[in-house]
Amino acid sequence: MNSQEFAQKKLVEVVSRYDKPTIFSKVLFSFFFLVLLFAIYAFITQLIKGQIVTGMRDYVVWGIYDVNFIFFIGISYAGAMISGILHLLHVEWRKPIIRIAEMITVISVIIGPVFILVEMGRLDRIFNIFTHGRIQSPILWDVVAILTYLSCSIIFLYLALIRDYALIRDNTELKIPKWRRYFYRKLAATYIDLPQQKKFLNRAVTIMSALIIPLAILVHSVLAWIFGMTIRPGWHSTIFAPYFVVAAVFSGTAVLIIAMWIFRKFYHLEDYITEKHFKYIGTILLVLAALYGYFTFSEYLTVWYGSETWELEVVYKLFDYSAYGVWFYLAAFGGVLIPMIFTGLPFLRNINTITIGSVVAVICMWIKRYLIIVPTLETPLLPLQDIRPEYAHYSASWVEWALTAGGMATFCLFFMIFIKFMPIIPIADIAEVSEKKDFISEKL
Amino acid sequence: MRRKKIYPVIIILALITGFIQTSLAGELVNPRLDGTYEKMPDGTKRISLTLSASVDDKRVYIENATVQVSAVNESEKTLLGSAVTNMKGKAFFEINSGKSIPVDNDGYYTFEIRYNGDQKYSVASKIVHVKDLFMEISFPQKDSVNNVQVRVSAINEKGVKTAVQDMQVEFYIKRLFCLFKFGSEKTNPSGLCTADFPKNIPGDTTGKLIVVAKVLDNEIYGTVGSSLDFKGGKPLILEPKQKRGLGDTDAPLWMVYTLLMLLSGVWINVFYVIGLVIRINIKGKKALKNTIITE
Repeated sequence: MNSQEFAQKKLVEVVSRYDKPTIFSKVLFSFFFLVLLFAIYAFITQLIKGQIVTGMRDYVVWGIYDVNFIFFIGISYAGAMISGILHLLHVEWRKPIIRIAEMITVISVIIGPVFILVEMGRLDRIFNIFTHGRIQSPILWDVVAILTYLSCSIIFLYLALIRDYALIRDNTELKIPKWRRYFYRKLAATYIDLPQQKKFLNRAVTIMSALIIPLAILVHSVLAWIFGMTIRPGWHSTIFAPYFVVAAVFSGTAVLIIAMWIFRKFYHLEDYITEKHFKYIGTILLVLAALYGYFTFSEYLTVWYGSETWELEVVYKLFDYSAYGVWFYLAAFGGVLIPMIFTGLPFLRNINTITIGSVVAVICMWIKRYLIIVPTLETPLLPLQDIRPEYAHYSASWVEWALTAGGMATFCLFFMIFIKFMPIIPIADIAEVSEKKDFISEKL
Repeated sequence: MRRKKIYPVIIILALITGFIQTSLAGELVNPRLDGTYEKMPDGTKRISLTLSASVDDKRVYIENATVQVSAVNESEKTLLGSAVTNMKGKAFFEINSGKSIPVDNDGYYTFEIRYNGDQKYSVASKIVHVKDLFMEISFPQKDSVNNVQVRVSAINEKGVKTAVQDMQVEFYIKRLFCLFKFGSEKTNPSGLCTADFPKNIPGDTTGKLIVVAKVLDNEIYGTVGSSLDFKGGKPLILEPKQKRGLGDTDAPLWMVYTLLMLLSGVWINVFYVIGLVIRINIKGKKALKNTIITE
């Protein structure tokens, strides 16, 4: 069997595992779709009645829409860092999981900014950012950085798919509709595995891998600077950019582990995504949890020790059980210690515990983003006078929760749709690894 | 026969239900309505009112309550309008300057403020009885020191403007968020009182300040204020606008160059990668063409 035949066999074997929708996947798709419809209804309500239907008021002008935005941009790091770094280091075991990581990146970079559009009171003025944007504004940097990052992520994902598209194009066993075959033929860019084509493709992937890493760091740094360059307690910090970057890689890695678990379980990919992958990525998660814990400790210790009145007001709100204490300790300790315990202790470390640790990390990271935004905005410099309590204190409305659920549902829906058009496992890469292994064993 | 027997039972049940309902509903709470007449420094006149009640020995402010304001004279009562209380039970009713308010023989205006009550609070009303007071501000200079002088007068029974003696007048300068008090004097028999104007108070670029004189919560005249601009402050020297600074419309040049360099660095690479994909496509097409020709 030549390499092409071997790859085709693998392709049929993998795609047939999830190509036909099961009753469970249909139910799940319908559920996510209904959630999305409900979110659209909530958005229309907001458009008609205005931002008054949200919990945002004069003081807390950023709510869970921003939390979701930072959260989704954060998890996009999965593709950029895991896939980019591991590619540059030529780590072979990355191959079965990089496609999932790259998909997470593209989908989350599409969904994240939508929350900013939803948050804008006057959506019709969106183009003013481009026509009247000021280069001094970190908001403009963010728009530019995210658009560039999205473009590069899509190209990065596409480059990794070219060889697989060529495989599907040449496959005769899989029953693929004509329109999809046309789509694959166009996207495969006449790739026929010529040595020069291989060389060009490898060069392109290497360039994009090298490019996507600083770009991802820049995107999250810019996001952190939107906060850091504002003189407000809890925000105005020099370590905010690296803190955001570490938190983003941490949450991105955790989401990648969860996605690996789901695909492994429901698409029967146990022989591709093995325990070894969970343990390796789990180790990365362990290191990131420790780093994130270090940054958190450093940030709050410095602020608390400085004893600046306004800063302390926010810090004490975070420490106080009657205010945000429970959430703060959960995010600061639970979000660090639980993933560390589950990924660090050898007798606890297995696929399920690593995944549980990741779920805890993801939830805690979402809470952490909430704690970065809301308590600070609830603590203005001038004393609050003659205002209704709901104007000073934020509580998300049903519209905001509906749109948040809609965002999560769209994330899952996109995954379900994406895998219809691109193999979840990079077949060409896997076939190449298997071929190498066979060659070595033959020689031995 | 059976029907007749049932009637007393129904009546007793209705009485019991009514009794329970009445006892559950409890008595209405008597609210307290306070109101004062205020003549603002800009000349507008208003009634400032507060609606509160004592519940369990605690003062509770009644919000979202509508309070009516009427002008009263001996023979008739004219409704002027209404105001709704805020979360602190306060409301301000501005008296329309175009409306003529009846004055009695002694020169008094009479306003009735009335709250009509609701399911929880009973009716409350109050009469506000005030006379018009006039304050004129001037800035005489004594030994090259600036002074602020206020002449206070009122209309007497004969309809003549006369000086008001022993009236406590407070002197302020308007600042960004509140009034800065700099003196408090009583008027002399000529209705005059004078305060030293403070030095080194920053004004606008021309040194202009807004001086306010006030009579606070007087039994006859209510709260009366008057204001006048005075160029007695320290002129504010604005910092020269930094060109291509953060506050300018044009960004600092280093920022523009950095952004351009970063973006071009990324996009040159992206276009190069797109070029590679195009070359892959061309190579493939050529190879396929050659294969077909050879075959």
